[in-house]
Amino acid sequence: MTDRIEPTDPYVAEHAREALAADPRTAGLELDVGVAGDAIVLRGMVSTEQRKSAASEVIEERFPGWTVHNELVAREFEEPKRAEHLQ
Amino acid sequence: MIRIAAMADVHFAADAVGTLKPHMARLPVLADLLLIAGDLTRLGTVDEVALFIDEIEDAGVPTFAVLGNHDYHGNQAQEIRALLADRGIRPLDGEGATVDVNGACVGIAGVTGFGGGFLGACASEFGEPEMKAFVRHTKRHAARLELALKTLACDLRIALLHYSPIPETLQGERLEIYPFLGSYLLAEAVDRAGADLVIHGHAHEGHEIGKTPGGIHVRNVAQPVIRRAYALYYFDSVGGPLAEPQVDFSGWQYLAH
Repeated sequence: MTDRIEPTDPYVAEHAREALAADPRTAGLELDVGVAGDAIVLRGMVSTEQRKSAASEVIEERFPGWTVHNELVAREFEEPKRAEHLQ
Repeated sequence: MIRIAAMADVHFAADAVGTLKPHMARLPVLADLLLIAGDLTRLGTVDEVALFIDEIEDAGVPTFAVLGNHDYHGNQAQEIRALLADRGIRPLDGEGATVDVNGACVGIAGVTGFGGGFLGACASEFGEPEMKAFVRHTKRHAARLELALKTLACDLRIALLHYSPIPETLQGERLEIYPFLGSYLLAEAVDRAGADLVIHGHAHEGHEIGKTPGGIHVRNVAQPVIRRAYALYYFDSVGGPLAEPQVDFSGWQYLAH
């Protein structure tokens, strides 16, 4: 468990990013992590709802007392609708 | 006509099983070959690669791949390449390969590439051993790419990378991380050797379309960029006409460059 980081901590976004990178549930997801007031904000695109939920779980476990704003988009990529013609 | 499907940054793992497979079924009627520009996996394990191959095997077209930084994370790169080869996907690591498509020779030179930055803001081989090693790593990849391209005597030549050769396809990413997303040395290698198309990934927030300083098409096919399972690039003037219309193109949008 990470020591409690106060909401004024200027380093919390990077600590959150490191926590996400180190946790097997979220390692390698390459999320955009920011802080807004007393909330840790997660943005970016992930390929499953499971990965989106895992990000919230990790932050809630590691940063008690902080609110998590999970704005991640779980998006499944479909087949293309066009082709580009090149010369 | 030569029809190329390309994808990158799939970051596949067990929790994504079933998300890609349904969108690969029609690939054989849309494309003649599939290029994968790295980051097949999330954490670079053989198990993840096996699941990824299961997911795309319906593509059923000649498939070539380079590894991305995620594919190196698990320190199993050699085993990953062996598994790809065993399952019919040609891994490229600083070499070229050819395939006959519709009466034309298509050559693919593949290398992961590395970082270092771009003209006016790039790392140089100076200072600490770690810094020198960083730049030398990129130089080695660029040299192998150039040699591989030069050895391909084909109607169409493609450079397949993970890292970007130009800053244009990184637009949207933070400027501060450009040196970790690619290197001008890769573009210089392509421009010296010549090619018709460069495919790369790695920059999720980047831009799809760009050109090298020498005027060669560059496409960033990271899935978050193209927002599709794969992108399609058609070369109308290479190879013979399609034997028969295979696709109902009505309702499609086209971009001509």
